[in-house]
Amino acid sequence: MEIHPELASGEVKHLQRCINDLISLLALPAIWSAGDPSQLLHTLLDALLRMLRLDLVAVRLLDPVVEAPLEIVRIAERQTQRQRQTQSTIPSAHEICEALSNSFGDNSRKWPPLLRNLMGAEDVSIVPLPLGLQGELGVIVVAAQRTVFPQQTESLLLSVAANLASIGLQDARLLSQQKQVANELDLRVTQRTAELAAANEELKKQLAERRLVEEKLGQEELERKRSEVRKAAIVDSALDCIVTIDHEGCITEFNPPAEHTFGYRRDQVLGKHLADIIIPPSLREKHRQGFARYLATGEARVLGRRIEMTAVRADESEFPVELAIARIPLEGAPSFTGSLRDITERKRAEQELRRSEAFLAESQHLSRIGSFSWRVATDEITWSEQLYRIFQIDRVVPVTFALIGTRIHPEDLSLFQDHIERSRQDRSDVQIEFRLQMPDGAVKYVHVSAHIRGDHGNPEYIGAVQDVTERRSSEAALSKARSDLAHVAKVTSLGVLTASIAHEVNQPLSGIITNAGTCLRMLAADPPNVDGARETARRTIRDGNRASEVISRLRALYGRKAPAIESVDLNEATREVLALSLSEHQRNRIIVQQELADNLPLVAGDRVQLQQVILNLLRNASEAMSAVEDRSRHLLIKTEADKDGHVRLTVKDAGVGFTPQAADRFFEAFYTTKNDGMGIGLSVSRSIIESHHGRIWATPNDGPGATFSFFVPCVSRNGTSANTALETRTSDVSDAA
Amino acid sequence: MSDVAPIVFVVDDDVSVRESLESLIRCEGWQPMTFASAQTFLDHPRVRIPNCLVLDISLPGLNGLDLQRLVAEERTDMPIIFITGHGDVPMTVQAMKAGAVEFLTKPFKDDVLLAAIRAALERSRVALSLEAEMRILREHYASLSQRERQVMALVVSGLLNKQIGGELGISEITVKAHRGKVMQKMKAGSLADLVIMATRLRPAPAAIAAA
Repeated sequence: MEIHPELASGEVKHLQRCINDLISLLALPAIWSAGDPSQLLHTLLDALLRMLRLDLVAVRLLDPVVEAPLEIVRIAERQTQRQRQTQSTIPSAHEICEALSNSFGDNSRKWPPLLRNLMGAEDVSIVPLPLGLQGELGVIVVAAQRTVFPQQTESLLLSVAANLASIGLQDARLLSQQKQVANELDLRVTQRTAELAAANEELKKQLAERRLVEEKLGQEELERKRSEVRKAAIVDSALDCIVTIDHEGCITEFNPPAEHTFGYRRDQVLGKHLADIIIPPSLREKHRQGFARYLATGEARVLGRRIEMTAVRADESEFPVELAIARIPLEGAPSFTGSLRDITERKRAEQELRRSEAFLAESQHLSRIGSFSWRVATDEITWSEQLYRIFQIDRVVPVTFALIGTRIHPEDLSLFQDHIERSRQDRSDVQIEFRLQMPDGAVKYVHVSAHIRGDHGNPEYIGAVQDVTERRSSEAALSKARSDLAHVAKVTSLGVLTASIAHEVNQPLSGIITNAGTCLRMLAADPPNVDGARETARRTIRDGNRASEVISRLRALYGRKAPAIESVDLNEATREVLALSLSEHQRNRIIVQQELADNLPLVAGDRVQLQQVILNLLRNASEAMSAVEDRSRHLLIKTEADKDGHVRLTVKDAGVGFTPQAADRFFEAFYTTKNDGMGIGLSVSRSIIESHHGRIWATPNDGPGATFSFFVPCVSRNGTSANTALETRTSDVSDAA
Repeated sequence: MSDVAPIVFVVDDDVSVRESLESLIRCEGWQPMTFASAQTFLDHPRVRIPNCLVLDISLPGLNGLDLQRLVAEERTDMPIIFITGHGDVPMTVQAMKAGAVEFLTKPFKDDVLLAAIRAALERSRVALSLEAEMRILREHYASLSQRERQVMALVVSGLLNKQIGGELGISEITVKAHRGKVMQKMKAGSLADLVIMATRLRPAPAAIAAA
């Protein structure tokens, strides 16, 4: 089967256009979704006119509610122009539909699918498209001046368009019906709202009236209540019980607080013996005796004084009271008035206070913290019990600075006095640590912190003194342990070097012995070779000096002498260490490459300690390469100054390297990756470098091996802060040593 | 040969050791030649007079044992005396196995070293004279004609002239003439001498071919 290519391509284009049209049509409902029927129809008619190159398209839309149908007509541009030229009129949609109805009946369903030459002489093809299943929505009429209209594809598009329009219109109709219902509902709601609002207004009015009445009532009520409250307040506020007795001890007055306190009504107690009513049975006899004695002798133990005693209530419960009794100054037989107050609460509070004081004293005792106050103006000093204990001073002695001075360690006395004077002047907070010396010679460390309070007229320091002797001694122990550890590490690292150092000493020693022997031989010869012997002796001396240098270097590294701060040339220090480890490196076939920077600034530090670190790094590097056979055992040692005022030393090896996880742990004490290592070298190195205010770290190489580096600050021009700090630490170490 | 002072080579990287040994050796009437590294020593040509090497084990670059490995094979006339600052047993064993004559730990007594050097030089002298004899022997042997060599080989294997003649397809008279030439060229006084010479020549046929 053969297809002509041109035909085929025309066909393809046609189909493509068709599909495009179809897609355009199918897209229309998206535009319609919110529109009304007339807008819907306008867009549809325009689309059809354009797509199918129609000459005319008209629609009649039947509306069940509105009598007159909606009729729209669209005519192609070219038709409009022709009509204008021929001055013929454009038929309206109504005319077209009427004509069709007249010819074929009102039901557009029954109209023939294709009409020709219906109107005028032109060759026009007309296609009616009923809307709705029964044509009940209306009809679209399309017309084209073409004999072959509609083609198959055009029919398809037309029927799709008609279906889409039907669905769209039905939707629109449904929507408008819903809208109508909604509108009605709105209307009804509005009406109901208005009714409700009216009813509400009425209610409000009634409510306002009622409230007015209530307010009036309320004010009266409130007034009454207030007066009651006031009365109650007066009643309540009269806390003191007032009881009056006559010369026989019989009650003549018993006020409401007394009624309340003791649980008797006034009328129950009037005329009764006071003792029987409020004095506990155990004290009654004593009371009677005292009362009788007073009457007989005028000797009073209780009159005119505030006394505390125990009273009893009607329910026989006892409670503490504070009591003041006065004789009523009237003629005749004496009578007395007593004012009593229930002090149960006060007693409890007192007890509470005593307990908390006890707690405080106990906790001060346990924590070895004493507290004090010092009035600056008068030098009045108050100490807590614990503070007396710390100072080992008897509590009865009044505290003075002179007394305190006798307990302060002689070496710290001036420090203490300076602080007191300074506090007196600038009244700043105090933080000071000093030593006490007890009469038996024992030394205590105390830490004092105090701050000032009170007004400027009468300032007072309040503070705490803590006995930190134990802490200090454990710190000292720790520091000693640390220095012991450092020593162990040093000895260990040197132990490894012993052979190498023996070699270093043996070289000149060997020279000395040989020279001495040669010298003797030369002198013993006949004739004696005096010149040769002299020369040989000179060499002997030189070698002797060399040997002693090696030994003193060895002693410096090995010994435990306190670190000394000096300006150190790190290059020089490095060269010395390299010289010491030379033979070890040779033995291990390690190729050492030096890159020591020229004009390297001096660093402040302890030469021997820094050399220990370098030695350690070299040793580690050498050991890391001990198993390396497949590449050269290359070790690079490098010094350089960085721009931050540090000197950096780097040791790079081509050894086994390490994992990044290990890098964090390298510098911890007792961490080791070596089978025979103790894991102290690097931790000691770190503590040395840190005491020099430097930093030490390790990084894996890109290739095999690892790089260890440290930096320490250079000597600054104006006296180094690093120096002083290191010195402090240094003295700690030497104390401990 | 004996009026030339024997040479004592010293290879040690330490200047004290080098210089002291130099003057000690000179004082004993030998010629000292000192080197600071194995490489500088190797660069120096070998000598044909009695000599020995005093070698430090720890050296930069090539160490003493490496150097021993390199020269022991070809310089049989140069005994090696090792000196070391830290001799350990495995290293000593290794050095001795490789042919070192002595292993001294620094510092050493000068007469101990001198005795070692003296012994080493004696050894060197023996080795050298042995070598000289062999060289002469090889020269004599090289002067033999093909036929004479065949005759010599059969003579030392114990055949009679007649049997040799039968073996080589020549007359007994001719064998006798060849045999006289051989004795003369090899400077052999007796058949026994010739047999000994042949034995000494046998272990190194390659050397014979080369000579």
